[in-house]
Amino acid sequence: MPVRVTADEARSVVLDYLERFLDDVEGIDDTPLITGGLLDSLVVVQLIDHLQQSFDIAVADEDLELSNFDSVNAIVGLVARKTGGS
Amino acid sequence: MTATDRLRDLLQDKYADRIAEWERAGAFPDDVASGLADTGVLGAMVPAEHGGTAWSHRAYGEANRLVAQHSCGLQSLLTVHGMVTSALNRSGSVPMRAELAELAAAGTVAAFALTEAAAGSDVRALRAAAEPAPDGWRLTGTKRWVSFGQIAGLFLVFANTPDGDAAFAVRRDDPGVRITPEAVTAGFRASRLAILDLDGCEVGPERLVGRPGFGLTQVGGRALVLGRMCVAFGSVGLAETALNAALARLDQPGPTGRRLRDHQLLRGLVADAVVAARGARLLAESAADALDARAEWAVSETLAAKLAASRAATVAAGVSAQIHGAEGLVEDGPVHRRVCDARVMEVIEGNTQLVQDLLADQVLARWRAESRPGDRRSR
Repeated sequence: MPVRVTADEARSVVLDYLERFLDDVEGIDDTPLITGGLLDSLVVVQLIDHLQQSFDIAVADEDLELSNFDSVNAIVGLVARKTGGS
Repeated sequence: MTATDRLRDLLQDKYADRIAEWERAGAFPDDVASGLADTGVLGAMVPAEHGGTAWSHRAYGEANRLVAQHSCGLQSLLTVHGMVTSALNRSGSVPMRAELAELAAAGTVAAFALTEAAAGSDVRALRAAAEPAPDGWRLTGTKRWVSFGQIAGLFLVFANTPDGDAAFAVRRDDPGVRITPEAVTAGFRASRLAILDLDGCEVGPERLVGRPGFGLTQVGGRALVLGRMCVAFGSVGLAETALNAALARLDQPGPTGRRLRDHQLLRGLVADAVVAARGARLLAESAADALDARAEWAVSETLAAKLAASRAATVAAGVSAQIHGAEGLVEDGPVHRRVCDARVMEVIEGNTQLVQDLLADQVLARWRAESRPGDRRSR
């Protein structure tokens, strides 16, 4: 069972992850990550794996919508919904 | 008897003698995969519930290494077939997954159709398009250098939709599909490369693999990780065969009784080739184990293995050719064939320079992750 995760906790994990690949993650909460070409295709794959492992959630096929992954805010929202947090 | 043993015996008994002839002709026969199907290797990336054999990455890698010892062109069938079957299993619709059994056991080959004339390493330049049609999708575009495209029954095609890049399962007999042989290449001569033309090819909604916007990442990106692992093991197989040929030549007494092995400069060449091949094998095995364990840096390990192994193949094939002298220049001979095949290993599933670029991203990311431990709130 996924542990309840707050939006702040989720944001922190996502930004930590993005910081591995991007120089400056401050203020990018709404920046398009995938359609904006910020993340290489392999990095997107690794990000999805990282979310699944960090939050013990399963990202299913129906979750794969750009509206769930194309920005930090979108990802935070997805994680919150998946873990039953807010 | 393990599946790997069965594969080794099959290669020795049924394929070994005929491979040189196929390579000379520049074409594997249409049913080349049917023999392989009996060993379970074609279902290796498919779970039992869909008629597969569910091998580990390590076991599949080993199969790639064994096949490449006989023929790198034939090994590339395992690369593309493995990529497509694993993608369909992970992201395919329920009806498409139900058809995996045919790919896993019947010897029907699956081909990977990503590359275009103007979109090789830069997959974002993709031109093929898929438009929503009344009953599914309508695909238009031209895919190039599709390995085994001449004989494949099913293609995993990447195209842009109005909602982003996506992957589709296209059958050979779908309307609007035209398959033309590519010119025979110097390496992987017999791999039946094809041009795949899609001229308003209409397919049902169940043929969409994954979701629009995630074709190049979730479907293509993951498939390429597996593909690079396969190329790494195939390259190791090639490097080992080249080395064995070089050692056999070095150890032969010449007419005056003197052996090449006594020439110090040649000993240096062989020592370097052994280190490259052995190192590559360890990296390939480590990458396969990381994929099996779903380890955090498995992608990085796979890139490292592909880079090292394809270069080891180039080194070992080159050393072997140099040691064989004029004999190594024979056009149809195995020594020269390995030189040509090694070139291909440095191009497919990400060329050497692209892989270096991706690997540099990964090692920098890993360094950042490890040098900034803890979460950002504590900083």
